[in-house]
Amino acid sequence: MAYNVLLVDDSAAMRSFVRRVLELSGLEVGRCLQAGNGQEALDVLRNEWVDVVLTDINMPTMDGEQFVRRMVEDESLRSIPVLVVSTDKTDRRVRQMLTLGAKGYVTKPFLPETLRAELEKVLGANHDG
Amino acid sequence: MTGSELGRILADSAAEVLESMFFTSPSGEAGPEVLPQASWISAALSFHGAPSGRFGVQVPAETGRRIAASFLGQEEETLTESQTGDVVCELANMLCGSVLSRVEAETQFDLSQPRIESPGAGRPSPAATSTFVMEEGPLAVWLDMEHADEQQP
Repeated sequence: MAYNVLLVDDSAAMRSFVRRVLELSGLEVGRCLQAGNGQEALDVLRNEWVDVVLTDINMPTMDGEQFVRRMVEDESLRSIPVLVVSTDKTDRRVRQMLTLGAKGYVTKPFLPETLRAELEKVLGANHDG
Repeated sequence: MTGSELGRILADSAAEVLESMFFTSPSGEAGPEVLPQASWISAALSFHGAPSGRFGVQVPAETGRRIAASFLGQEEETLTESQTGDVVCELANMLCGSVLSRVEAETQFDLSQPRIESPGAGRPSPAATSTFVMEEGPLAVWLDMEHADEQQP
């Protein structure tokens, strides 16, 4: 099964890097959609079928925390699994995002294999219900 | 925290970030003859928390292109100046996050968006500065604590 992925990060360089890691990981990626902040991501999600979202936290306009909150509030979006990819390593932040509804959390910098493993876990957990 | 402790943190963070996401590693610190030049690409950001301050990186343009090519998986010749700048900004962002997590592991910091700026801008007296040698060229890193408010536009 090929997964449609939405990458949300204000850094175009980071979106390109993650996209490359996904392509090289062997994970079957269908469409790789991109957004520069949470608001743009919500606009994408309202128009496109997405299997998983990878989002940064620190972004202008709408940050990752607000974005995940808005996704969870929206009945049509809350079942889409979210993996947070952030430089913030504090336990408090990780707990906060997982409590909000994110299914996984990867801290930057990360090894490509770490991202893949976490993504598989998130997708697997979603399939398991 | 002493200057040497901060120096060690900068070195550990540089190794962590460069090895995991830029597929290179610092082979050690450069000698005093390697000083950041006006022509180098400079990216900096502010952080707010306890402590607050500023953090930045500087690389020669050629080094910036090489690490950007490695990060993006593109040929150097195909990169635009903007792409190289984006990658140097992302390097500054990740290094800053890594350094702060070692300085204050459980403190949540707000990081500003990294920006390309003139070398030397906003660096009144860095608490720590180090220049590392990589295969791609030198990388200068600096950290300035408790000056964030002075640097806001």
